[in-house]
This record gives sequence, structure tokens and C-alpha cells, in this order.
Amino acid sequence: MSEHPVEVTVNGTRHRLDVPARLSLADLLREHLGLTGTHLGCEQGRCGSCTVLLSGEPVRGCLVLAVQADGAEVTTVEGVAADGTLDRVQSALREHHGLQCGFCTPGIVLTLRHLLDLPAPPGRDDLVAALDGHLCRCTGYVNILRAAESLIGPAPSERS
Amino acid sequence: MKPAPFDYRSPATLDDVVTALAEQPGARVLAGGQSLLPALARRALRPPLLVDLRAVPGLDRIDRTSQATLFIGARVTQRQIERDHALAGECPLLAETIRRVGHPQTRTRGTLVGGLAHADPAAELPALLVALDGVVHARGPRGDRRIGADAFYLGPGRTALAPDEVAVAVEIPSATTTPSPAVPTGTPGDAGGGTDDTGDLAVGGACVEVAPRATVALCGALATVARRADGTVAAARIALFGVAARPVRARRAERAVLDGGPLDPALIALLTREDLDAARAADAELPDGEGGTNGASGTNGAAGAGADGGDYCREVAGELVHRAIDRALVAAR
Repeated sequence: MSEHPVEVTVNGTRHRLDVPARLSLADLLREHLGLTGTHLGCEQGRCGSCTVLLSGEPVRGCLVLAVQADGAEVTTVEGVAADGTLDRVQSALREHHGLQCGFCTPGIVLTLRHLLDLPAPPGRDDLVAALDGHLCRCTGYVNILRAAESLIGPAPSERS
Repeated sequence: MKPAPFDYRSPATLDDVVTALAEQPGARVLAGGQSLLPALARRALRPPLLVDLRAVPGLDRIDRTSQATLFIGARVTQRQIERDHALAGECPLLAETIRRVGHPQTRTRGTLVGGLAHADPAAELPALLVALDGVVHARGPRGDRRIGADAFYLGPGRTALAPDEVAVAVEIPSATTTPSPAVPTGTPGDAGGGTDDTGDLAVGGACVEVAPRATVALCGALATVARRADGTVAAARIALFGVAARPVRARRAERAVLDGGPLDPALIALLTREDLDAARAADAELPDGEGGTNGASGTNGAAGAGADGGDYCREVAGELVHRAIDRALVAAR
């Protein structure tokens, strides 16, 4: 099977390479670019661990072929804390014990990062719907949701 | 697991897509890939070639006609539909159902038309086509054709599309369209209300599902209704998923809604059971799996390789239909 040219910009750095058609974006990041912060769990779109931002929107890295990402901009967890300082999503997860083993965390960071960057601030329902796309076997989700809620402030009904 | 090796082409025109499909038996069309790529990863499908629609211009649009008919192109993503707030008024059932498909992270790339062509009988989108009485527009070597919802599904992962045909768009008639030509159709009203601005008909839609864990539903019912100003029902369409080898149109239950009067859950359950029995009898007449289709044999639904969610889903189908009608009627006030 032939190789296909791909040009992607990952965390601001442009890469050109030739890849087999079946290579996923997640494997491109991990195997070809050495960006192993993107974790692969199920490889069939269920677990959400490989979530990255493609042209600013969250996608499953295992459900995008590298050839489909030609010309696109990709943000991985390595691009979130580029200077080594945790960003506020990562700090909130740390503060609220929103991770234990950390396998699912990179995907969750990018999903929350995207929600917080939207023009309209997300509500609690948006957080729940977005986190529904991520499997976590350690935390029971409660602390992940607490971390996320801390980033949007208290719900109106919870203010007294 | 990684997919089996395949080749990849990304033609710049629809005719080149069709040519590529015709040249390579077993080739598959790639749109958003959110159903196809999992099937490849499980090696439920091993196509020799994927023909990507990404370079074909014009397929990423949502168009409207003066009759309020919607045309949604093959590359229109579920996210695009979610963010098109006019659709909540034009087609409430579409707006309500699309946000239940997959996860936010898959709706970024997943397309409506791709979900229709994937033909998972345990998924929302094929039932949506049936409930909306949509028409699939296809391009093939012998030209263009339109395939109505009633004729589109031939079984799990199997559609009326020939191997060298590609679904180009779906046409969705105005939600106020009724079987009677005498009923006027209006232009869309404000988002959320679904009221058409002639004041004649108010439209409501509802999607009710059984989703035991996460958001992958086991089965569900979709209903869309149009009500006159006096509250009587001018149009009703209902479809079920996860209960048979194909989405099921609940025509007997629809007639009960059109007849008016209070909704009797026991009657709806009885009529739904008759609709299901009729659908399963029709499914039994279907030719077996080989041959022309552009859908997947192994589906991504909760039922896995099976055709439907089994006895449990058939047992609750009547209640799902009842709730869907009830909510659609409330939404159409």
C-alpha cells in the first residue's frame, strides 16, 4: 500500500511526512512525532483517551486518519502546558484530585480546554455531556466534574 | 487493534469518487469516519480502498428551498447541525436527535449522511431518516437518483446504495408537510418554538432512548408531529431503532395520534407491537447479506453484531413510542 504525503501543524510546529493510509492521527503523533502524551486506549472511539484538538475542535485521535488531518492544526496535551507550567485546566484537575493513574487525563484536559475557549461559557450540563465522552476507571468522575465546575464558577442555584 | 492495510484516494470531484468506487470492488466511501473507522479498527470491515469525500467541494452545505425543504450535504458534520440554530425551528426532531448521537468528540467529525449510509439499525440516525421521511440523493455511474426512506434500508449495514454509488445529500421535507396537499407549508419560525409563521401548524419532535450506560443507546423512539392552532394533529411520524434489522416506522401508532383524543398508553403499546410484528415479518423476507451496499456488516450499536436489542427492546418499544409522542405533542404547543 502506498504512502501518502501529509502536512500537519502540531502545537505550532509544522511537520511534513509520508504515511501509510491506515495510520491514525493518534499513531502519527505518538509513533512518528514522539508526542506520547496522547494516550491510546480502545483504538475504536469509545474511551476518549486519545482526544486531541483538530482545527480547534475535540476529536478522537484514533478516529481520524493521518491523511485526513493533512493541512490541519493539531493541539495535544504537550501544547497545553508548552512552557512547563500547568494551565488552569491541569491545575484544577490536580487541585481537586481529578486523576489517579492519569491515563485518561490528557484527553480530558483537551476536551475541557476547548469548552472553556468557546465564546459562550459552558454550563454544568455542557461539562457533563463533554466528559461523557471520556472513560475514567480511577476517579468515579466526581472529582473530574468538581475540577471542571471550579473553572466555570458556581451554578446560579448554588449561590446563596 | 489497527485496521487492515488499505489504499486511500481523495478525488476532487464527485464523478471521480464514483469512478474510484467502480474501479475497486469493495471500496468504501469515507466522510467523517466515526462509524467506518471503528469498524476498520475491529477488522469487521477490510476494504481495499477508502475514497474520501474531503476534497469534493459543495458537500458541506445545509441548503433550504422556499418550501422549507432542507438539503444536507454528505460532508455536513453533526457539529455543524448542532450549531445551526435555525434548525431547531425548522426541524425540531433533527435538532433534538443530533445531540444524542455519539459524543461531542465524535460529532466534531461524524456526518449525518454517513450515519444514514452506515445503516446501523440500533443507531439514531437511520431511524431519523425514517421518521423525517427523508430522501437520500445518490450519484453513481448511471447518474443521479433519489431513494426514499422506506426503500433505503435493506438490513443491518445494508442499504439500497449500489457499491459504486455514493450518498451525496439527504433531503428532508418541511416538518409541516402532511400527506394532504391541502395543508399549507410555512417558512421556519424562531429557534426552539418550531412554530411556522403562517400560524397554521406548530411542529414538535422528540427522541426518547434507553441508554443503560454512557450515551450509547440500546433502543429508542423518535416522533415528529405538526399541530393545528386548535390542537388537532395534522401530521405525525414515528420511528423506532434497536428493535429490528432496520429502523421501524410505527404507522399504526401514527394513525392513533392522527385520530386525536387522549393518548392511551396501552393502545399505543398494542399498536406498536403490531407495527413491530409487521416489520419483523418484512425483515424475514429480506435477501441475505451479500451484495450491494455501502454500509457496514458489523455495526457500532449497543447490540454489537446482532440485528437488534432483543426482547427487552421490543418489550419497552410501546412505552418509548408513547413517551416520544407525548413529548413531541407538548413541544408542538
